[in-house]
Amino acid sequence: MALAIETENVVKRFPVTSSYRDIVLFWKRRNVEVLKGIDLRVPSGEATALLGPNGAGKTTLLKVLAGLILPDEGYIEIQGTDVTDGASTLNGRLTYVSNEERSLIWRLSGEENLKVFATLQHLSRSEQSRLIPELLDLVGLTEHKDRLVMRYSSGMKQRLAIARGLLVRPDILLLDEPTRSLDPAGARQMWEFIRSELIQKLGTTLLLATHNTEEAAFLCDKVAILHLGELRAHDTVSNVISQLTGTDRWVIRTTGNVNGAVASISALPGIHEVNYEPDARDGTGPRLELNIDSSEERIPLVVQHLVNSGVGVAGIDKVEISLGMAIEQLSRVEN
Amino acid sequence: MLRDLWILLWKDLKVARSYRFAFIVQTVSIVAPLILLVFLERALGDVSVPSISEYGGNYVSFMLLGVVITTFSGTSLSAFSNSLRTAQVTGTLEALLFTRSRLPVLIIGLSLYPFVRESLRMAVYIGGGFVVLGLAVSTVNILPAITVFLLFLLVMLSMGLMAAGFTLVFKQGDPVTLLLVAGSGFLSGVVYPVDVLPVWLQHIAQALPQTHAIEALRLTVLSNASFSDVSTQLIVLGGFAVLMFPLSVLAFSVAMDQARSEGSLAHF
Repeated sequence: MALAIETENVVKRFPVTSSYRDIVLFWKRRNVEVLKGIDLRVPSGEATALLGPNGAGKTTLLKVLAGLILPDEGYIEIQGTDVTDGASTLNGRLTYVSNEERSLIWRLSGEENLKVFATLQHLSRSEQSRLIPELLDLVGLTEHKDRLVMRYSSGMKQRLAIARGLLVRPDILLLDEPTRSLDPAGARQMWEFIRSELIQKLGTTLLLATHNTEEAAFLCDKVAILHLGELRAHDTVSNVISQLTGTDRWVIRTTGNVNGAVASISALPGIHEVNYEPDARDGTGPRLELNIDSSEERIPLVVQHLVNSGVGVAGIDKVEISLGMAIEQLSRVEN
Repeated sequence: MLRDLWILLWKDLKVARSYRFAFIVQTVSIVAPLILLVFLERALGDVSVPSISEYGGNYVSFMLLGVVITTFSGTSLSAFSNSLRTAQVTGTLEALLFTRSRLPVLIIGLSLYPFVRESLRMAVYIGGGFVVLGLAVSTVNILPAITVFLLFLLVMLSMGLMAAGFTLVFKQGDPVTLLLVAGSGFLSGVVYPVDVLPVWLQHIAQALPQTHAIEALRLTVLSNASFSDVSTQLIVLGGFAVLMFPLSVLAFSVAMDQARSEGSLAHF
């Protein structure tokens, strides 16, 4: 499948200006590296979520792809065109939709906003008169088209921003936290809209920056995990979880006293963490929680060890690690 | 390109009109100084000042032209940086830059509204000069006056572009506008001729384009001066234009790259 977005070793550093000294002695300014050699490949028509905690570099990466920020090193190709030096050659093939509500002109109506931006996108009058009502309808703002944007709710502003992004019928849409300021119901509506209208109907290649794992799983085929400026994984949700954690979590329900066996189980190869609860809160009796290497051979070894120590095993369950838990684990380990 | 300019002017006019009270005040402020002019004319109309005899001797006409040019130069200097700053503060700059409209067109378009407003103000002042002060059309040599004005406009816009570059990178505290506006009010002969300044200050005044523009416009509007009469001022203004225009385009482009590199386009 052809690649919509391809980046190679993209590095971005921002200068740290924390004192007057940094302004005066500007050549001595320190830099902080916010993107550390990003290699990302997004095939055409695929929806990818760019996940990561605040400050991971998600917005910076989107802005670099959009040409609003220039990379310090690396190479960026959009649909086969080198755009490393900015987005001037893109001609509307890619659109960046900011989560910034203020990027709209608040004292104009929704329709007037689209008119201004459609003109600046060099759409002819006939194209505008066809496309603007179509887009207002698509984002469900036809009834509110004459209202000033400052009277819109956050969700309406976000939908108008998306409509503005779609004026050029882009092949690639970069969406930056589209549900950041929405309540749960509004966020769910936005997800439905993005999935049915943008992904399924228009077949747009989507790169969505978010820190909401539920949103990522609902909307996207793949997730790319950005952590402290590094791309840690890029794959399907289940593959990304194994890549991030590299371990499995198991619960072994036991009968009899396990205390004596805990230390020796911890010493077994591939065992990272052992917790013993003599009286589990769910009323199922004593239980061992283990964090162990993802390997089929580990858990039988542990069971064998327990049996040899005189401990009965009443049941074994593998705990499904969610994407959120995996990212949280990654942040905990590395921060 | 014209459609881009028109839509940006339309947008700004619409936004300005939505602040109803401010819009009324702005509109009234365009014509209000005419009242001041009437009283100034009553107080000083017949007074002939020897030191300005080469400009016709009428002090109110002399001052009027100085004030008009200074006001307009202030607008030209600050229009680009103000419009960029407004776009940064309101949050629309990145969205505008992401359109197919070219950067120079966007910058000019975003500055059109203040220009139109100030041009209107200037027209009212000068019109008022003819009506209230009885300026004679026969004293105006229109072609040299327009040439001086256009050259001066180019110089001011170039410096304004440089100021806009400063705003892109440093956001506030633009020294270009500050120095030129503050300097010109004091040194360029706005309300008194440059000759009355100490000699060393006169030398500094010669380094300001406003000094030459004000003098040339006074001569062409009030004393029917020809191209050859104002050739020195035209050469100086032309020199400023030839030097400043490419320099300011370069400076702005460096500033733009710097802001994109630092990721601070939308910062304010």
